[in-house]
Amino acid sequence: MLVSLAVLAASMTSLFLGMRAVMEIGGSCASGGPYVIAQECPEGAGTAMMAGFLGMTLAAGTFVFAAWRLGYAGVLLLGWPALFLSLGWNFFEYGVSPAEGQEDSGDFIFCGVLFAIMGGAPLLGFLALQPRRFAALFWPSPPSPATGRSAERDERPRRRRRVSSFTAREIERLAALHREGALTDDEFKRAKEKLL
Amino acid sequence: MSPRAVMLVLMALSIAGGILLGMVFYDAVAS
Repeated sequence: MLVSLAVLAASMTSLFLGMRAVMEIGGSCASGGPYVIAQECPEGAGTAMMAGFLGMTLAAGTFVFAAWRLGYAGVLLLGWPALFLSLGWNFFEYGVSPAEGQEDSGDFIFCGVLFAIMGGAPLLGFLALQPRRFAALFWPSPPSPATGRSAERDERPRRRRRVSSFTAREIERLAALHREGALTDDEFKRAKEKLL
Repeated sequence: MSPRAVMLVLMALSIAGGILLGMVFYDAVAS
């Protein structure tokens, strides 16, 4: 789980840096092929971005698989805002102050706004959750050994109440039988001990 | 320190380590 989380962070960093390299030269580039290329890609940027995409997808899947039973899979939800806000920041930065020799482009700012909304809205949604539920994303209750589910999800307190009222009723019934003489002192004592 | 706090710290360290790893990786492929 920790390894996949590290790979996920590494992939996102690689994607982020690869994107910055492309933004540095105007946001589009090409390499190879039979056409005349107006703008060659920065060396390694394509590899970094491809590796970033692939690594991110694989690491996210592995992380969810590994973290699900431990109850930490919710951490991945923060990956979405992290991805969109970081890439949106790149758009903003190069939109507001274009790289040297590049034209001022409103398109980048538009993309930045779009990414900020896509990344920021879910993050605000998480923050708007009740603090307890938000904390539960990162602070899961330990899984109960019987069901493997988190203790919050199973209804143990309710069940316990049900069980205790059942026990009380049984003891009342036994006490009534004892009073009527159907059960001896010893039998009543043993039956009561068994119930408790 | 509870096991959950330890796990949270480990996850934060993983993310930090991953970011460094990503930077090293990028430097390696870009140069």
